[in-house]
Amino acid sequence: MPASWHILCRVVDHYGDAGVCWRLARQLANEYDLDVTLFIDDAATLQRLIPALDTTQNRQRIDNVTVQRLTDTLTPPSSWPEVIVDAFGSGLPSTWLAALERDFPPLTATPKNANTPHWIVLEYLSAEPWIETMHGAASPPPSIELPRHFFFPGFTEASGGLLREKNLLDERDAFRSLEHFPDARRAFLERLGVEALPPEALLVSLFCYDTPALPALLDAWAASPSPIHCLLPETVAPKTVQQWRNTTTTRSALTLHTVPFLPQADFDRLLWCCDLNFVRGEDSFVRAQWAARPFVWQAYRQNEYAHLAKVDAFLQRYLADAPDALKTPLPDFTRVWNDERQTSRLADAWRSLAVQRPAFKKLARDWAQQLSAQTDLAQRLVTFCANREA
Amino acid sequence: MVMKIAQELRSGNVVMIGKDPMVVQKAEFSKSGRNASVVKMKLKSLLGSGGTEAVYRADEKFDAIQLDKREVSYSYFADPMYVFMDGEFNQYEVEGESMGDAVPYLEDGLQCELTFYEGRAISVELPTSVVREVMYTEPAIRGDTSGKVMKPAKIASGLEVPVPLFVETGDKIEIDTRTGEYRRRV
Repeated sequence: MPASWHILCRVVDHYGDAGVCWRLARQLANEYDLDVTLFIDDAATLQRLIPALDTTQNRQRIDNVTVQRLTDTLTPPSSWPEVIVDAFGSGLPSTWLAALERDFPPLTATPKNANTPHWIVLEYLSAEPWIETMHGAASPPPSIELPRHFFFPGFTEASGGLLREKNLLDERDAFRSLEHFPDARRAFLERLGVEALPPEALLVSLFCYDTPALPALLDAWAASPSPIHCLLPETVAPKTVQQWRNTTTTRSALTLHTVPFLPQADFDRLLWCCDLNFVRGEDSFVRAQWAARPFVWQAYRQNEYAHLAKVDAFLQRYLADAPDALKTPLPDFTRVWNDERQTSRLADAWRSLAVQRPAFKKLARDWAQQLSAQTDLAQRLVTFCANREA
Repeated sequence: MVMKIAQELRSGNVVMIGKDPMVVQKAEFSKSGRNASVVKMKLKSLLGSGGTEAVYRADEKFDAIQLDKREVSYSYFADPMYVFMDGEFNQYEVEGESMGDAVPYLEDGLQCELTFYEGRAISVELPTSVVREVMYTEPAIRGDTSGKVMKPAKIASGLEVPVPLFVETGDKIEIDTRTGEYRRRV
């Protein structure tokens, strides 16, 4: 009988929470033969990623994963799973905590057996060095006699790694094989309503949070010496984009194409098709790296600009072996894009970066190659939990 | 007992983890994602000899035990114990591993606060800042007065503190004992 894992996901905002948890759930079920239940409190958000999901159902099975609605009054499982993944540390339902306190009280010596779940706090992805000192660290719950550990996704062997399905890179390479790619790209883009791209156009996908820097970026692209075609998912900053574009789809060098919100597999193909991808947060950020195409990251904005430290930490790793030509313009543009106080510098920063396309392409390929030599997050998580059992 | 969240815990606080009262010897905060924080704590059981490190979300709730506290001044080091004295000349010994990061700031007569659990001194809390003389630092460099560029400066205990370039050997500087950072030249 396959081991049972429960993943608990509370959606705070946007699509990243659901996206990361769904990927992990699917990978654990399909690549590790685990009996996975994804508990999620926002079925509507998940349904954007899985069109087949029926949001009226409390419990259903999709792609070998059981998806169940998460509420704070959710009845605890009749028997505890081997592993509970508390995604992004948003906590267990109060009913579960009460049941765990009852089943695993601190004042008695509870024998460790198969019914003792391993509680994993799956943290946010970060390139900061400090996560390596906390990855895998114990976190004994104050009032429950249960093993609990922190698990930090990251970019190094000493972290929890990155989500990457077993076949992802093969699928990417097959899609982009020389003889296949022009037709595959054309067919995919036509499906999104994007046709007749000029061969010299720079094709950019723009998946970003709304930011005061967005109109400035669109202005900079419109002023570009060569055509830029931008694929913009319909959910991205619709008001800001509408204000900027008014009734036009083309302004000077820039043509905007609004594309539908895409399920995960299609979003990967979108990234594989583009010359440059703007991505955000965590899930699309990771996928852009596996796409092995140039990308610009927008971090989730934090109070007091705390996200800038995360941007810098990533850039430091990403640029460690980068061509010299990129070592100034890429971090400069990325910082400006992530810090609206510097929006007045955005056009200049873009121009400096835009002329470095060949170096940027090489960096993206090399970086993806370097990362792919590491094991992925799901494998590390399964191994981590298995070692604890042993 | 009172309820505290992890980000409120400081060195010397005692919390219940499982069935053990654990004294917090050190707490380091890091900003995680989405404005959340995590806290890495060095903990020591008051019942056994074991120490451990653990990580918690900053909003994790703990039962904190109220402990006796006493104003004391540092007297001397009687290897392996640090000896403190209160206003009535009672002496108290503290183990080195319970001193946390306090040792480099100790000097004769330093006023601090001891925390007791069941009659035993288990931690020392320093003033938030102390003034110490710089015993050695590279000569001051003219030109940079911004205070942004730093160089190491050694105080009598051997502790090295990053200081601005204009600080010279013999200067007295104020140091934040919680972070080990230079605050100002006195």
